[in-house]
Formats: sequence, C-alpha cells, structure tokens
Amino acid sequence: MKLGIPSKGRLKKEVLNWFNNKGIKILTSDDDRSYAAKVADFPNIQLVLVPPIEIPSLLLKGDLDLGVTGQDLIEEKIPEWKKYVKELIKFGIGRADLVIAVPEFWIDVNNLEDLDDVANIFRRKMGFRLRIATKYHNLARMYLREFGMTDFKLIDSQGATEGLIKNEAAEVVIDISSTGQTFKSNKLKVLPIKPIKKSEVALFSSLKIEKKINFSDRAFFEKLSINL
Amino acid sequence: MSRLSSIGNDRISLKRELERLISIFEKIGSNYVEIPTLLQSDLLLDLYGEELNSRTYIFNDPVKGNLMLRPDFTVPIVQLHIKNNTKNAQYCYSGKVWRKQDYLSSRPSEYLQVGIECFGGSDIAKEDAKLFSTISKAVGFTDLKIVTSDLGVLRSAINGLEINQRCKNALLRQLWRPKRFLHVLKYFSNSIHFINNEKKEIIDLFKSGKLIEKINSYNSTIGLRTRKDIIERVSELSNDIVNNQLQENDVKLLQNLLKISCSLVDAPKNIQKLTYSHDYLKKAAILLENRLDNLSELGINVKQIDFEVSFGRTSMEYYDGFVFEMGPKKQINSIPFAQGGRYNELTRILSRLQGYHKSTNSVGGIIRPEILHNFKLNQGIK
Repeated sequence: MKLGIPSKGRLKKEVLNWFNNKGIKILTSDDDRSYAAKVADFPNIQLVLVPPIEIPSLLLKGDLDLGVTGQDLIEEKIPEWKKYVKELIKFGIGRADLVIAVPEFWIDVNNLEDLDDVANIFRRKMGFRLRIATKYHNLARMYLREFGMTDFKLIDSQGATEGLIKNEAAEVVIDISSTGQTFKSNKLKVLPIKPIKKSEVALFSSLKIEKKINFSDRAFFEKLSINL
Repeated sequence: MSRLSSIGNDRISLKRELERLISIFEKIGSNYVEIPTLLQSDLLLDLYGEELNSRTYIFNDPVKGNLMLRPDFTVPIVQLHIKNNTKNAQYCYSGKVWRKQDYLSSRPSEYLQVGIECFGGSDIAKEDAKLFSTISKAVGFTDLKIVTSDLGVLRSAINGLEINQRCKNALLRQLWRPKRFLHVLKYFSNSIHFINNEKKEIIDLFKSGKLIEKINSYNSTIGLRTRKDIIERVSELSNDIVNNQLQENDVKLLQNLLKISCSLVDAPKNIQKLTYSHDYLKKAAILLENRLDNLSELGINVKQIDFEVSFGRTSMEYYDGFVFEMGPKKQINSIPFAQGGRYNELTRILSRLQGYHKSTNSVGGIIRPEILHNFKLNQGIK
C-alpha cells in the first residue's frame, strides 16, 4: 500500500508529529533533502514524500492508495471528488480558509454584491474584465458562478498572488489564508463574508483501497481509529 | 464521442447529409468559408467570460499565446466579415466544435455544426423570418418542437423605463441570470434596505465631504482602481438610496413580461396588453407582429411555434433579438437539432474592437447534423 505525505517544510513536520502522537513512527532520513522514508512496524506500507498539491492527482490515478493533503487541494484538483476519494480522518492542522481579498482602501467593498457592482463599473471604464488572481480556479469559478458574478476573469497565479495587485496585474485575489498576515502585509483586506471554503489537512484514500487491504494493514487503520 | 458510428454506411449517409445542408445554404447565395480550428482565446474569453473558459479546451503556445479549440463559428465569421468591410454578406460553414461537458453528461464534447450567418439588411423582421425559414427548410420536416423568443422585448422594456443609466445597466447585464436579475429588481426598488450600517457611514462621510480624508488615511492605494473611482461609486450608492429607481409598476411590468409563454401567434397581443404607454415596448410588439407576417408569407406554419419571453435567457448571452430552437417533440432534455438568433450587439462590439464605427445587422443559425441525422434514421425520415 502506498501512502503519500507532504515532502517538506512545516507541514511535513506537523504531519510526522501527528502520526507520532497516534503511535505510528515515521522514519525519515537525517538528510532533509532526501525523500526516503518508511513507517516503523508497518513494512507493507510504502511511504512516498510528495508535494501536497500533487497528492490529489496521484490518488486519482491510483499511484497512491492513501495521501495526506489539504481538503482545499482535493476539492480543487478533483471535480466531484467524492466519487473518487474518501476522507478518512481530519488532522486538525494546516487550517486555512479560501477567501476573497481586495485592497484595504476599497472601503466601499464588503460583500459580493459590491464586488459585482465594482466589476461592472471597472469593465466599462477600463474596457476589460476585473481580474481575479488565484490558483484555485475550479473552487473560485464554481463559487462565483453560483452567486452570478459578472464582468470578471480569473488570472492564473501559482505563487506570490498577493503581490499581483500592487503590480497592477490583478484587482482582486482569491487565496488560502490561515492568519491573514500575508494579506495585511500586502495592504489587502479579506471580504468579511463566509469563506469560500474552510480547509484543513486530512488523510484521504482512493475508493478502490478496500480490496487491497490485508491483515497487517488493518492494524495501521486501527491505530488511527479509522473504520474502513 | 458522438453516438453515431463513424464507419460504414452511417458515415456515408452522414456525409451526404452534410453536403445536402451546405448545398441548401449555398443555393441561397452564401459563401462557404473555412475557419481555423485553433482560435486566439483572449478575445473570446473577454467576450464570454469564465463560463466559456470552463467549457473550452485551451492550450498554451509559448509563442502565440493561449489558443482555444474552436467552440463556435460565429465570432471568427463576424471578424472575417468585418475585415472584408462589406455591408451585405452571407456565409456558411461546416466543421467540428469542441465543448467540455459536465461529469457523467451524455452530451458529446466534439461534434459537427453546419451553419449560416447573414449580415446586413435593414428590415429586421424580414431577415429574421428568412433565416428561420432557411434553417427550418434545411431541417426538412415539420413535426418539431419549436421555441422562440425575442430578447429585444425585455431589453426594450428596460430601456423604456424612466430610470437612470446605472439601473438600466444593472438590469441589462443581469438579464442572463434569473436569480441575480431578481436581486437587481429588489435592490433598485428599495435600495436603503440593502445598505448596511458600514455603508451608511461611508455615505454620510461622502455627504459631509470627509470621504477623501478617510480614503487618504490608508497610506497605500494599490492597483488600477483609484481613490476617485471609490468616491464616484459611493456617490452612486448615495443616489441609489435617495432616488429609488424602480417603481412598483416597473417591477410588475418586467415580471409579467417574464411570465409570457404562449403561441407565437398570440405573443404580440399578450405584450400589447402590458404596454400601457410604453413606446419602446410597443415597438417591440410591432416588430414581433411583422416577423409573424413575414414567417407566414414564407409558408411557415406559425401556429406550431411557441414563444417564451424567458427563453434563451440562461444560455444565449450576446443574442439580443429574435432567438429560436428546434428539436424533437416529446423528448425532454434532448439536444436541439437547430438553433439561432440575432446578434447585432456582438457585431457592434467586434466592429468597434477592430476600429470600425459602423456595424451591420446580424442573424445566424446552426444545425447539429449528427443529432438531426440520427433522429431521422431512427424515425425513418428520408
């Protein structure tokens, strides 16, 4: 059985700690740049260190049976995700909200109605659509379509999204945020409405996993109090 | 992709069907045009927005920018027409289009379209009727479900109301989204109800001339939207709550119009009933009547055609006049054989983008040969 976990950084440490607290020890190499690792006591489980953003598609393809990643990434990368993967247990870490942020001096903009009105005025004046930068295209599009937003377009941004407004390459940002500090540092404010999506890190499995589980794997799931 | 077999006899008879349709369009004077499969995506996305973005296949070319697999023939043909700089012209085409479908949808992502686009002509009712008649004759049999509408009815109704441009713009652009349209109706009927305390404070600051101070207290003004833009919008909001734009009668008129669903023959009368002293709407009803006369003269059995004001509202953005759809009777959710409509506004926008101030009246229609052919085979229609 193949289990994918975040390959580096704070998230990797937090995930290892979480498993440790559950009595599952994950042995990684002392060399932080090495992606080799294994699970003590569970030789059947093959551990794979991968960037969290790649875990959804690996689960979908069947290259991973289990994967630890953010709920936001699963929903963004797998349309109709419940038909392909199952959420087994939430980790209570990596909590973040997918939110809409605008420049903080836009004191007239507090909700989607405002944003829609501004988008229309902006398009009339500038001759092009209000640009919303995000890497969460599917979640953003579904949310804005459900509302009925007009006169905008999504701009792809894979990082440093908050800086795009200052560079006049976007007017609005849709991004994940845990403390809101990155927005504040970039002179942006989060619209005070319900987040598009609340997210945290969780363990996901492909739906086909049940056929593959053998006796020794069962103990692994029992330790995590997961009923498959 | 398509449920039609692409080998053997079916393929040969589909090919014959395609040739039959094109020859009908050519016989009435259309020029057959070839349109590239890969189109520049920026312009199409700017016109149609995110809905199209999620429906089309877009590829990145490091040199040419983003290219889109042709989702539709109309825009490239309008561009071609504008470039040719002639007034009256008629084009026909045939080829594949590509659209992403929803999960588990049985609709094909790749399918054939044969169509015709007609430019020019000042008698709109007559041109609409001619185009409809051409498509109807090309479809070739009459036992059909035919739904029509005229987006000009709602547009005229809105343009004729005594309301400011801001309110008109809001209504016109949300015409396509029933839920949002309802919200706009409510907002402009009773704006104060929708302005929360935070906004009221800002509006008060505006009235007392202190808004600029407040905005200046944010030492960073980033992005393309300026301080002036904010003040202008607050001024609009302030005006919204002082002068409710929509009166009860206006809302009733629009809502009653949206309810109209009848035989095409009864449509002018049903609209006339609601017009009161509304000149714009009277004109729209007269256009409807003229179109009806023209259709009858062309031998169309107008009694079997339905008319719904709200038809075409959810899916046909950029059509702005007559719209129609023809499909099998008694089949719910079936894909129509043919559809089309008037899109003067689209041609106007594209003309302006290409630097021309004048633009021509435009109407067009498409046939889905695979769907039509399949239906005919199943029904034994030759």
